[in-house]
Amino acid sequence: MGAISLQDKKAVVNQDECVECGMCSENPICPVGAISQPESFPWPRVLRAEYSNPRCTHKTGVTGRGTEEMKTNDVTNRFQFGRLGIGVELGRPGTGARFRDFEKVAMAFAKIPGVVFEEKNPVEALFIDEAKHIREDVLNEKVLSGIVEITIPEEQLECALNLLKEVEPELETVCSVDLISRVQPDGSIPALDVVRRMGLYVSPNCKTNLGLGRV
Amino acid sequence: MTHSSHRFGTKEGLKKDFVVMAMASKGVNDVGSGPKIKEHLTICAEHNPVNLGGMKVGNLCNQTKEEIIAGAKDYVSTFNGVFCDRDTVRDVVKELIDKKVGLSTVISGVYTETKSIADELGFVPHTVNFPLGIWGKKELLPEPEILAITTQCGHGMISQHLVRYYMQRVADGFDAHKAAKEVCRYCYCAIANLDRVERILKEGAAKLNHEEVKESAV
Repeated sequence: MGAISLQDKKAVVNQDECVECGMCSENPICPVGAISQPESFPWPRVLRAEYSNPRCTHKTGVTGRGTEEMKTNDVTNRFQFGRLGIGVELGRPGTGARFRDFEKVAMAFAKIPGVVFEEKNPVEALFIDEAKHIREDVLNEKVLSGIVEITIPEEQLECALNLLKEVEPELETVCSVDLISRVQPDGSIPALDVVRRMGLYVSPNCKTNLGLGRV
Repeated sequence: MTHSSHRFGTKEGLKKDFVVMAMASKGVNDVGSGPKIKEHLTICAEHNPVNLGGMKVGNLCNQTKEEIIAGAKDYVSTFNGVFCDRDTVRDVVKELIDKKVGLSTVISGVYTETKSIADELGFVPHTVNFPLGIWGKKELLPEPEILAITTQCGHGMISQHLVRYYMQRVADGFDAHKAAKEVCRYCYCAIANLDRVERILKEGAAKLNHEEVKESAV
């Protein structure tokens, strides 16, 4: 985050920019061991460590960003035929994000017909109403990253991506966007054709769940 | 979530960068998954990965293969082997299938390469997660060589400032392999590709020294 700077030959931490990821205190770079992190944090600062230190386990029981997402879809069936997953990871790569940007994206997605927000994602616990407002005292807290995770009917893909395009100029950070789809029995992924027709970028690399999981 | 699939780079650079990840699911098959996680890591270890491990067991910057495998228990977290070529990944996947390890397994890599492995081994992939790129205030992002290294860790544990520091040190003569280990040490999930990071550090260092770069690793 660039939260640490040298002022008069002394390292100073910008507490507003610090996301409490714990990296500075784990890296033995200070010759006198002056960098440390509190053992506990008051509300709402505690959210910074929960979202930024990947070794913290979220209330979902999952480390990292707190969601299994499609990694275990072969045994959870979270993403099904006829529906698509969209993930917007705010603050990634490496810029961090304040929760007010999470609210902007979530409120845009709340307008999609048939949208379902993932319950087993830690961000879901921050929303206070169906419109996806986030509680006021949390909005300015900065974290390394977090994911707004939804599923939508596959016919709403263009609507979802257009809503994201509309809110994009309002964001104060970057986000990494994902499209999750079951692979058809013939090996095709029709959703990618929709994205390409919209003139949007599709990465050559992706995550592929091979279907080897067993209950 | 997506931490291994947003690696920045060209298609050619990414063709030498694969993660084979296994994960148990909370409340579904996590109880008793320890031996399966151990088997997954053992199979990966036998195919000379450039990185190995996971958040709960360490990585090859900090631990030996034996220590990593010995640490496997019933964890709900990812356990990873990182490789640089498609054929080795195919061999790993074939062994995972033949030995019926039974954990959800995800390959992070160029999809045409992954699909060709599935075709060769005779199955259709289950689910895909395709990155649609970086949106928002992209002017906040660092240069491509830096981004190609920082995005090796999806949890943001590789700082652009650390990469810049070691790229300059390599330009000044510091060993690039050691620099790669220092940069990747805090990628706790062990998905950072040490080989690719080393090559990109060398490429960045060459540019700092105004030297010609014949083949980009980005």
